Amino acid sequence: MTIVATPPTPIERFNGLAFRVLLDCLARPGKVGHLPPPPFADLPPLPDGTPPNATAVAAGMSLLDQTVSFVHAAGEEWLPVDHPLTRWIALRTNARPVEAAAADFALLHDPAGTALFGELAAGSLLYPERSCTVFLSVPAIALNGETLRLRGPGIATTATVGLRGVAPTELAAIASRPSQFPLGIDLFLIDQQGRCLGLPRTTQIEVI
Amino acid sequence: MGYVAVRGGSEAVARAEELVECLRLLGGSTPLQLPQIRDQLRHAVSRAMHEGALYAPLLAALAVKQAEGDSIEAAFLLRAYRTTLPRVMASLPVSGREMFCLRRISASFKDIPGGQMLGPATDYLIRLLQPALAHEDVRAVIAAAERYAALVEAGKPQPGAWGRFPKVTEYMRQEQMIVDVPAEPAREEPFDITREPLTFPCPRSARLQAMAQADTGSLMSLAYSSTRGYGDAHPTLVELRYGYLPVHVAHPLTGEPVTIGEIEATEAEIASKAHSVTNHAEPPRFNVGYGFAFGQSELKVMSMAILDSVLTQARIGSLAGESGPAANEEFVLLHTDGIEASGFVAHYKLPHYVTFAADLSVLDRARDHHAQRQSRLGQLVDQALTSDSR
Amino acid sequence: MSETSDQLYNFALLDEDAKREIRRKLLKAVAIPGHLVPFASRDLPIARGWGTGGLQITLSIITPDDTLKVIDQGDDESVNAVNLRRLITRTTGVATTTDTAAATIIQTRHRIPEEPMRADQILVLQVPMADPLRWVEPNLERATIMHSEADYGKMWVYMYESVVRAGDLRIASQYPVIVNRRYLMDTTPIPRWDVPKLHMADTLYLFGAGREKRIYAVPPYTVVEPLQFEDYPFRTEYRPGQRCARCGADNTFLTEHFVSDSNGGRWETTCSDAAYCAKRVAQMEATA
Repeated sequence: MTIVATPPTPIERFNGLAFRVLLDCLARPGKVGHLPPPPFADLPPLPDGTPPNATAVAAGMSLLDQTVSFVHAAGEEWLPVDHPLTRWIALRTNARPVEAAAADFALLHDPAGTALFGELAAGSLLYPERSCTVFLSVPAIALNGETLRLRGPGIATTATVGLRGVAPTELAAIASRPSQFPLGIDLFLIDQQGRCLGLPRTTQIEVI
Repeated sequence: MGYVAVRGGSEAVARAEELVECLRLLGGSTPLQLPQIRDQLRHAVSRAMHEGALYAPLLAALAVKQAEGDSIEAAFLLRAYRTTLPRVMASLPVSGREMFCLRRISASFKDIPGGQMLGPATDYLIRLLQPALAHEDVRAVIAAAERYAALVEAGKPQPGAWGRFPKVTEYMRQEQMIVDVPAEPAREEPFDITREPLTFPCPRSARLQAMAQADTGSLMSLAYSSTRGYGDAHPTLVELRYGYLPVHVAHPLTGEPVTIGEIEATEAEIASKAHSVTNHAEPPRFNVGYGFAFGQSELKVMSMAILDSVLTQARIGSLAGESGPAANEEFVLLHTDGIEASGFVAHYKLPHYVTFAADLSVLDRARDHHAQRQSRLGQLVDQALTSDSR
Repeated sequence: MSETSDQLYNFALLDEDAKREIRRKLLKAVAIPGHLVPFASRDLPIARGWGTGGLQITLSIITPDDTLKVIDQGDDESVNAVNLRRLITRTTGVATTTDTAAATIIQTRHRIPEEPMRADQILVLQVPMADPLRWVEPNLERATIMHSEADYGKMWVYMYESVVRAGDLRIASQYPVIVNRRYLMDTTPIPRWDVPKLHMADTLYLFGAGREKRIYAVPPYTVVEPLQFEDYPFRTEYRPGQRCARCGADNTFLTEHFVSDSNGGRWETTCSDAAYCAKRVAQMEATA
């Protein structure tokens, strides 16, 4: 059969493969997925000079275009519209940088960003989907670890997952994130190795 | 396998396509050329363009040819092509005042600023078949060109009697006869139903876009129902104009407006019943409805304008759905798209034997229940008869 | 008119923005099981009502490494399944299969395959109506409010009336269910036989309604309960003693069809899942 389509470009290929990992992880909280290597490496640094987690940024960007908005934060601070990384993301996606409360997506470059969860949109009863999806960079997601115990749709009974380098207060913030079903924010935790954990609003989280 | 109707489909589909081609060409007539369709089947081309939501006369002619004249199929072909095109930018708003008119009429005032101009219209033609058309040849083309040249030479129509005109609604607005549709929260760009899901209540730009690409017959039927009795539309045609409209965009670098071409279009504005004012402290005015379509498409834009006015009225008065089906925005917008409606109606040609088997199982259970009830009834009747006979 | 080329279209037909929108909506659908998420729904070269919702989902999730199966009424060879598969493979080049076990993505209309699906597979269902409240509240604005308040009283009344009038729950297919104890959901016109497969499944189910412009999902291991009354419980089409005339299976969904033979023909009852039936016949022939 004649193929009448062009093969996907590297970015399209990343977007397609990354989406399947994100979808699988969100459908199966507790499962640790592996994102493909990011299709770029020239990201401007964060205010403290460290590079952002390129896989987490690329995964977030795979869902951005001119019809949606985003915010991002280093530590507990939202980064301004004119920050080089904000401009870098906006230029490549056409997504609008906005105030936290109006953002469709939030990129939190380190676990301290968990303190900002409360500022993000959790949707309304009429439109629970008008909520923020969060990409949170963490130092390491450990296979077979025991930091969080999870329950809810997508989990046969219970699941446990290990997180390294996340402070107790930050773990508590993850466990008590806005999630009054059907309202709530949905989280993707992504570590330096591209490991990914999905925590939809339906997951009940307990810190072990 | 004897189930040829639904299995082994690839072969059947290919043969079906061949048969369609054969039927079109086997008559032995000369294949139609696209310019012939574009020039001589103008209304078919217009309809394919506005219902297909793509301004492309030659492509529309191709769609009409490929669809063998079926208007919905032609529009579907254009839509399916349009969806593969990038949306580069939104053009700047353009007023109907900028239209280079070939025709403009008003039914609300005898004389209007700039004057009435009948233009190309079949409204007053006696509908007798013209046998001469059956034997037309190239001499007719030459004769038409000569007649046209003679008219131009004689200075007809007079310069100034055609071209650009003020709009009748401008006068009515100035005289406070009409009330404009209540303003909605400002948007950077109009709602685009091909990019955003249509949820209700929807902005007026979504309503107008949906109707601009809706099926002409469906809009006409609903507009008619509201004027005939299932509703309370009392439209008066303020102005209908047909001609060429410029298309402007903002220059991507300077932001200055640039004209990138023109489109053939029809526009209608109607005034309806004087109970449209939200603020009761203000004197009553007429409500206005707006219709627009590519090409010369007068029934479409009038139907659209009537429905727009009815829907605005319903929204203001919170009468949605309570003054006939045409006043129910969801009902109108979700059932008048020719592509969606035709697709869904036609999908009943697809096999449904799983659902039908499930239906049969329910029918069996209902029959069992019926039989049980009948036998219980029978027993009761028997008992009654027996006790009677005692 | 641009010149024709061998590679005229995007990978998987849709442009990246259209795919991205659907991907975003799919994530919301998974996070809010059973909730109807509106999406723009692009025009496609196939007609509305012929699987455009399922098709848009498949085209948005498919990668070059996938193996695709497309069925209509349980059958890979049904005309519409053939047509959709042709469109998807021509614009992606992915491998196809009729074997449920070998597929990574299965797009389906009206059936869930008989063979249990695994965690590494996705089932994409084509949806005609999307909102189960349509039967009792055709107005979308009001139905959306009812969903937001989990106000399903009208639906229960409808069910009750069906019991009173017909003596039983007389919903044949498209049986309404409650997902994750919150949202009322349309199961699409799958037979009742397939409804229990949605409950606590290993597989992710994605639903696309193209004409109605809605996406929804049932994640794996999610509670899915059919609406029923204690004294009128939900029942499938199963009849004791039922049997496929071809493969002999006594636990599949069967449909009737006419088989021509030298005596003029006869009606036969066989598995609606044609690939499953064929697999069983092949296995029996191999062991015989």
